[in-house]
Amino acid sequence: MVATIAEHILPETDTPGARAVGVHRFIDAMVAESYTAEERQRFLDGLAGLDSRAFLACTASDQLAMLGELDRASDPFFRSLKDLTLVGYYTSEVGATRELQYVPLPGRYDGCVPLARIGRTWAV
Amino acid sequence: MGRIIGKEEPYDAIVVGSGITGGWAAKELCERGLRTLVIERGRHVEHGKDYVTEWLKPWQLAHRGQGEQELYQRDYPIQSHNYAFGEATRHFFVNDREHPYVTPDDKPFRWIRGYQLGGRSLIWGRACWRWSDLDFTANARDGHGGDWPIRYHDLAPWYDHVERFVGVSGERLGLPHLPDGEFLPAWQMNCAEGVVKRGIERAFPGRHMTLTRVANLTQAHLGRGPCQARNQCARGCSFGGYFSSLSATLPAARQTGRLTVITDAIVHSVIYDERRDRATGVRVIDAHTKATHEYFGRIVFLCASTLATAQILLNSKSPRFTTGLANSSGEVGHNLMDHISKAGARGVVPGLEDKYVYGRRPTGTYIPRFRNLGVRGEAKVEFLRGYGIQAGAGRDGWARGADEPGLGVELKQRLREPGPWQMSLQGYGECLPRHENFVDLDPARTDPSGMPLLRVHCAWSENERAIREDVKAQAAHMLEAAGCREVVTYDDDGPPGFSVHEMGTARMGKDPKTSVVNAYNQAHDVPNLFVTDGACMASSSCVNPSLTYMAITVRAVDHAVSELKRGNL
Repeated sequence: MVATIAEHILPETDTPGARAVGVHRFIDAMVAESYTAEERQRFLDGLAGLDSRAFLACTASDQLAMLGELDRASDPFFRSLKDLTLVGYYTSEVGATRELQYVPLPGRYDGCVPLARIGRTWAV
Repeated sequence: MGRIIGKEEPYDAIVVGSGITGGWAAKELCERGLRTLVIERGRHVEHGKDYVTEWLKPWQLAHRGQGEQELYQRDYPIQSHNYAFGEATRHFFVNDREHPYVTPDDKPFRWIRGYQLGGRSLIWGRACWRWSDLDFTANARDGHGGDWPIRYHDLAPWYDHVERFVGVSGERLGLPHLPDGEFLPAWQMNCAEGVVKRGIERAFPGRHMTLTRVANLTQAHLGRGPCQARNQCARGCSFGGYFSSLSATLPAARQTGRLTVITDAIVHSVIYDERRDRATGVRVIDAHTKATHEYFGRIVFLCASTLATAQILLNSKSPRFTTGLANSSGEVGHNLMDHISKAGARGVVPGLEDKYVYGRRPTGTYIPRFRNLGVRGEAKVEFLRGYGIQAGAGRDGWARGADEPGLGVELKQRLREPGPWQMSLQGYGECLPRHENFVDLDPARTDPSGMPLLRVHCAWSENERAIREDVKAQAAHMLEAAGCREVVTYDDDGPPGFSVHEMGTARMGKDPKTSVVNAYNQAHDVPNLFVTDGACMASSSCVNPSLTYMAITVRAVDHAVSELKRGNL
């Protein structure tokens, strides 16, 4: 279910979406290894609060509508899922280098360049 | 203590610590012909080879930079508060659990440490500002602390000396209270900073915003650099893009052929010979085997960092020095200071949507002190001394997506473009020297190496709190005057130590009754013992102190070598 929600948050467009990038695997690892015990419990409680069978049985557009409501209501669990999805996506190689851009070794700093010349948001 | 093993041939000089001052002491002593032993308590780190995270891209970090919170809470509860601490730099910070110290419950102290060759010079903030006589006369003028035994003109040639080697990028301002030096070209401001700079300088004549004077090379310098604008200095830099003991001073010392370095060796005490009335060397505990060694030298430089140097002095007791070596004044451990920080304001710089940056600048901008300059007609404020402001602007990135509603294709498309320009101002303010801010040794408990635990008793007081309030008010005024929107102040106050500018525990002074070291950093009581790290500072100024530590160190070495040659030491 996490993979489905993540894909709704950052779907495939002209670049891969969260599912193809494996964001759900990242989220699992984060919750298991990065979080404190308290944070982990809160996350798992939040996850259990979403009825996964009912959710996955809905159409994609119904699912998106449900998530949109949670998002607009600033539901805390949904916000934490969204945050994890963004981190997992934009720190991935695809997210950082294909969807956005990343230069490991800039070699210089130019403080005032046209955005058009840069093109997209820097991932880092 | 364990069995003493081995007696070495005496060195000309012993330097305790390999951090920013230890590295300089080693270079200068070696270049002047002295066989020098540097003793570092932490592990060996090889420049380049041991910067194990330097080349890792975000997706190559095990937790993508998010770290492991339980590990941090258990082993790094103090270090993990530091801005430079993270998944990619943790190995350059101490394990707090393995290196405890003691504080009263109502006086926490945040001791940020890096126990490795190079010390915190690997992870420092790299800002390099000269002091002026506004700073050196502060104690004499308002009566807090003891008068400095030196003035700016004593240190000026040594600031020249260190800046030439370090390579400081910056611009000249012609401000009497923030003396110019010899600079490499300054880093660039970005457009948002330019807008704010012009707005502040127009609305507040006499105030300036400049680029931070920083030890990141904007051009190749003495075989190092230039900085590659990755803004990840604390991982270590194999380009030598920033100044550290590993990139600069230790290699220079090694080149003379006169340097010996031992690591994993904790100095327990300085050996004082009562009959000859001099320091003769140091006792060292092997960090792993706990065995004890003694090393001998004609002069000893304590560069172990402010708290560690005090701990060593206090632990070096003898019949003449029952309260600690060189402590006839009773001031060893006392007058501890740090800077206040983490107060300021933020705002959105409107417009400039069509502008962006290339590269990741390793520093920010700076607003020099404008309070209590002693100029006619200046605003009267309710506090003594002053503060400077570290600042910077940047465009919000993809992380802003988590703070606003929006998901799906619309979110993804929106995050392809950067968000608004955010400008942030943070004050760094001076702390008054107070006798009641001090360190001492726990009478009963020892740390894993056998050293008595250090106890730190330090608290902010009214002057520092008043500075915080003015910082917030002025930062907000300046951002508003510059046309920023959504201006808010912030205050993430923390305990002393959190600015990592702790200093003062073996202060310089003219009078042996009220100070520990003299105008040349020689202990009044023990002339062949020198203290040149942060411990020697008699006041704290509001600017980053490392450049001043460096200049004081090289001046003290110059004096030590001259005295040795004259047969006075």
